[in-house]
Amino acid sequence: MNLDVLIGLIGIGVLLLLFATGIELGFAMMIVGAAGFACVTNPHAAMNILAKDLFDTAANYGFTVFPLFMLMGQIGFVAGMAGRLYDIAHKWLGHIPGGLAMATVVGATAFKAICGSSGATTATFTAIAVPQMDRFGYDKRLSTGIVATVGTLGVLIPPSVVLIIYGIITEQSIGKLFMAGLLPGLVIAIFFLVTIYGWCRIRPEAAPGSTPATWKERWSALPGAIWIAVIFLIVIGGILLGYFTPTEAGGVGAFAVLLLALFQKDLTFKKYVASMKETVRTSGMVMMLIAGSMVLGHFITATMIPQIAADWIVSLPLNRHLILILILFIYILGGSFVEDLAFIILATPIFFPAVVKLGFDPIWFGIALGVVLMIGIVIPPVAVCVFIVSNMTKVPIGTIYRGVMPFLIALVIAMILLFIFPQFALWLPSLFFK
Amino acid sequence: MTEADRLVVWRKVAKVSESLSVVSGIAATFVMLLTVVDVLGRAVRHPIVGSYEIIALTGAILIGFGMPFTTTSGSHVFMELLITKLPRSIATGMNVATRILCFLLFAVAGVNIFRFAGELARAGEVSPTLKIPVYPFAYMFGVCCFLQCLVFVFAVFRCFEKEGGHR
Repeated sequence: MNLDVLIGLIGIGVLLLLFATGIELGFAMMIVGAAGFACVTNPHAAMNILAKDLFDTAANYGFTVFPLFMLMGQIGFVAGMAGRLYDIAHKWLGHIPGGLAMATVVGATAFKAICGSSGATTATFTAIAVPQMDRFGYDKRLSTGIVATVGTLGVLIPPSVVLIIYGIITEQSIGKLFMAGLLPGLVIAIFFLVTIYGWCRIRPEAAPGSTPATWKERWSALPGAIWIAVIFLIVIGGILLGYFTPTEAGGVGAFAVLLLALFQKDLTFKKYVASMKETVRTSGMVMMLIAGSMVLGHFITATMIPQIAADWIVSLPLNRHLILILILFIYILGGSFVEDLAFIILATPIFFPAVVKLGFDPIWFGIALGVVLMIGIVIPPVAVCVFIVSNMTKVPIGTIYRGVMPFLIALVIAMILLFIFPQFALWLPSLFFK
Repeated sequence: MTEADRLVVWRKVAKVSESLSVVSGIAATFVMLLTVVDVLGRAVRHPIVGSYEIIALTGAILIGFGMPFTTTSGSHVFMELLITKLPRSIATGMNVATRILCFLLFAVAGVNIFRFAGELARAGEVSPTLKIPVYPFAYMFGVCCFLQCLVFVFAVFRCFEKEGGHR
């Protein structure tokens, strides 16, 4: 075996050991990346790479897209827009069996149009929707299971932070990824609605109907949602028509949500500062992961591991779809021990060349990875959204997992559909990007 | 230093980090407003010249000054699966070791970013359109790395607290 490859493999092993010590993942990637690069090239070059990668990640026009889209979501979050959207969905759907759970899906899907954070969505809807469902005697498994699952919709529905990260790592168009994620994201939301409907048909006592709203109340609630739809269309439409770069779309979107919140008198200076702090906090976390992956990426590339792995994977005597399933399974397995998003950042530079060599569309693979991430977020042992719900509602984690299972089936069906019909993800981008 | 003293010092460090994050917040607001003005200006054929490079350089301020706050608020992603299951003394030892590693990382990064900034200054590296010198931003980012080092120094002391540890 080539010495560089051996150093690379030892580096990956050391990295996994470092992860186990509880060190911040981004910093571990920087340490191993710099040390490994020093071994493969020389210490001076490694120090240069560390300094340059850190600074270039921060001072990068394309990467400012994160803070801006996060700001957009955080302003919407502190201004209580999720509550407003849930209220609208509640008025339209609340009276039918399972309606409050369905309202949670519809409200969260609409909120996802401005907020890309799974954790924030889950926390918001746990606070808003679970007490309502409790009041009408919903089964705890359904009420907690659905709020734990809806947070995952943001992985595919634009503006998705995950798709932006994937786009940056693999140098794919973020606009194309946004378009590719939209249809699967909406279809998965519909699958969630169908799952709730099926659950209520089988066990009607799990979700009784609540007090119906009058038609006047329903129509008068609608304008609140229309403005959010308008902002979504401006942001995504601007990217699609080539009028905005994704960074500009983030800036315009954040400003539009700020104006809307001010207009609706939902935003105070204190709330704005809170949204800003959260934006800075989360951006710092994501940027350190990216900087870490940049340094590590330079090391891994210097060892030739991605090319060798790609050649080896392609030469396996297996059907290419089976190979891809194995790769995605590695993502699920890896994401079960390392945080899912961090594992995507870590593993994608290694597997991406192989996936492209196997003939899969890079945009399609991004969406498939998104669905894998959605599954990873809600399955044990590291199920962030489930932990948030359990922490907030004091419902045992086991109960929430049981509630999540039916929705997990919906996600698996979506994945199968993606495999059978790649156009499920690629049709919209093909319409807008010739 | 007693545990109470350590906690007081840590709170001060956290407060300073939070204050620095205000600079980041202002940078984020500036980027948002600049983007909007640029887009609107483009609609009337008066875009802001060099907006991309201003945004990129402001990004260094946004991320640099936000780094210590992200750390003191425990927002970085880490794997807690194993560390939470270990006996307290071993977990504390591991936390101390990782804090020291992180301190060394940012010390090395800071020194090398300073060197990099010096090279940029010597080469007269400026942004393409507005000709803004890049080196002051690199020096600033290096300073932020050293601030991050300070956070890790105090985080080492926090590891010995009865409850909590460094996160």
